Amino acid sequence: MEQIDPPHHDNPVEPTQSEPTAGDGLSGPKPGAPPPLAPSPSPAPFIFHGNATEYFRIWIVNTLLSVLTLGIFSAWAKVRKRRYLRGNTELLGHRFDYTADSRRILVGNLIVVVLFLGYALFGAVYPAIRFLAIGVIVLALPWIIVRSLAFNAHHTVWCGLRFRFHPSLSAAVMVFLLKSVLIVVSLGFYYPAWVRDKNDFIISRHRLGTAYFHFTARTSRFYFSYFVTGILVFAFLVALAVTMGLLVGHNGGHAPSPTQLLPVLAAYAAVLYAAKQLTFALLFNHIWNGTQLDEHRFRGRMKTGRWLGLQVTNLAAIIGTCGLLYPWALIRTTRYVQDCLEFIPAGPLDSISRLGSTAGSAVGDTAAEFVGFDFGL
Amino acid sequence: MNTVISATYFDGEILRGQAVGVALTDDRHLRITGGPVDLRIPAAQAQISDQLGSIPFFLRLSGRGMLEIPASDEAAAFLDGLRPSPSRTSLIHRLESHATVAAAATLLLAGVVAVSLWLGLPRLARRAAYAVPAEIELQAGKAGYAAFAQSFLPSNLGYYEKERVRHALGRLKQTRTLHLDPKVVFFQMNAPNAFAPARGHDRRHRRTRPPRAERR
Repeated sequence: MEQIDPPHHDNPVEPTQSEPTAGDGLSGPKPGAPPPLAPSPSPAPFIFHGNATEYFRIWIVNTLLSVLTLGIFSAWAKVRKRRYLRGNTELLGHRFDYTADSRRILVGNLIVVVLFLGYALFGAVYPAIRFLAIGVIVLALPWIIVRSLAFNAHHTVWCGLRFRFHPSLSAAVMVFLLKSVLIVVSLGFYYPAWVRDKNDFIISRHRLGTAYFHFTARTSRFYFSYFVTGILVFAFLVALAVTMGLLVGHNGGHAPSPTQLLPVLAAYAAVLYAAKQLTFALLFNHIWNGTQLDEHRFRGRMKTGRWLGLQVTNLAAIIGTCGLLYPWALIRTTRYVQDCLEFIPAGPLDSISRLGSTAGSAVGDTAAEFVGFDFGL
Repeated sequence: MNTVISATYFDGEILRGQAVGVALTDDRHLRITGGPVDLRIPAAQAQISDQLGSIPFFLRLSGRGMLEIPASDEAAAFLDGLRPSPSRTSLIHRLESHATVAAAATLLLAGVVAVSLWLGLPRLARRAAYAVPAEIELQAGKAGYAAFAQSFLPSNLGYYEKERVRHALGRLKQTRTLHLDPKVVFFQMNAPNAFAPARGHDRRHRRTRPPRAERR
């Protein structure tokens, strides 16, 4: 396991007022004395430059080639998508880069596909194998998550420095296995605290060069967000039960027909989707306001109503066009998320320097997507 | 030296950028100059990111930092000149510049795949089903019969109704190559099933009288 020294700043540079520079605006080319990256401690917004038309071209070609190559190209498609999204993200005048090698992701994809086919085929003949495989997957989950995070962090670069993820397997086992059991034991009441722990695990183990991310958000806000969402979902479930009762009464005591059930099920799915988006919006600002990079802070300014409106129109557009407007939805979502995010440097950033580490594994990255984990990082 | 491209140089050691100019010398070296930076690196050692939309180009200088070059036609032409051979992504770029063609091809392909699955899967399933060895088929039939016999009562269908089903199965049998001669047994399922009598045929009120042999 990689050992990382605690953060230290031998030559802290005092914040200076911004001054006009010839180069990129923030890192001027003054001969002999390059100024610090962030001369002013004023908030620096994340700026997203992507546009839907441009991404549509990339997405449609990715889709076409992935289908034509029976999924082989999807490894390249994944890298191109991430490169596009990160490459269009600007902070302090500089863009992010994603440097993953598609061939490594392809190897990861192939391993996951082979394992899944083995599970499906052998599981059909010998059902006991299914339980064994599920057990193995659950036990391997912390490793998969850790490797996925390490892989993605390692291949994300900003201003020539790589992000890192400190891959602590024991901490991952604690969060993703042992504490998950507490959710079941507490009948779900521990879930908001677990979400907070999960975010703490993910954020606090990331770093940019030698700078450490910290997560200080309080648990109470997580409980509040899930409580609000839970109340809304519960109210809907009550309404659903009443509707079902009325339907059964209308049918003379018989169960509702599939045609009658369809709108109810659609409403149920819509409410679950809205609840997920509501939780995201309620927690976004709290999570980012509780995140620091050394002494530098972040600030989230998401508006819940606007986010819900955005997601509802996105969903309608995607369903209405059989997925063709997915690129448009993705771009406007990414743009809004970045519009809602600011970086507040406490001083110049040039005390942050390079840190050596291992590269992580694409298998974990692929497996994490395959089992439906989306950390939203 | 010909074109000079504006870029930001990062040494990869600290989080600090330096505005620089990048040029290609006659002996195919990259000359990077600006502020305290004065580097001369063989162009072959520079790893150039592929063009993707309008995101900047990134040049990784094999352990000596990296360059961030804003996307422009001039920068794209300059970097094409650095690559030893045409980029493998040129086909992808051509497709991207004809997004309508790509979209039409994708929709067409999706349609072909959907139709193939819709028609092909049942055919494949049928072929697989008839490829089952006779012994396994016999075992499956016995197990199925035992399960049905345990759960359902014998059918109360009349002789002629049973004959109708037998006749329909007989016609079906002629279209298939069977390993075994199937034995037809009737159960009372009280639910719709594939071999139920035809619509409008109410067996509860129909009095049928089987021939003498059947009654015995």
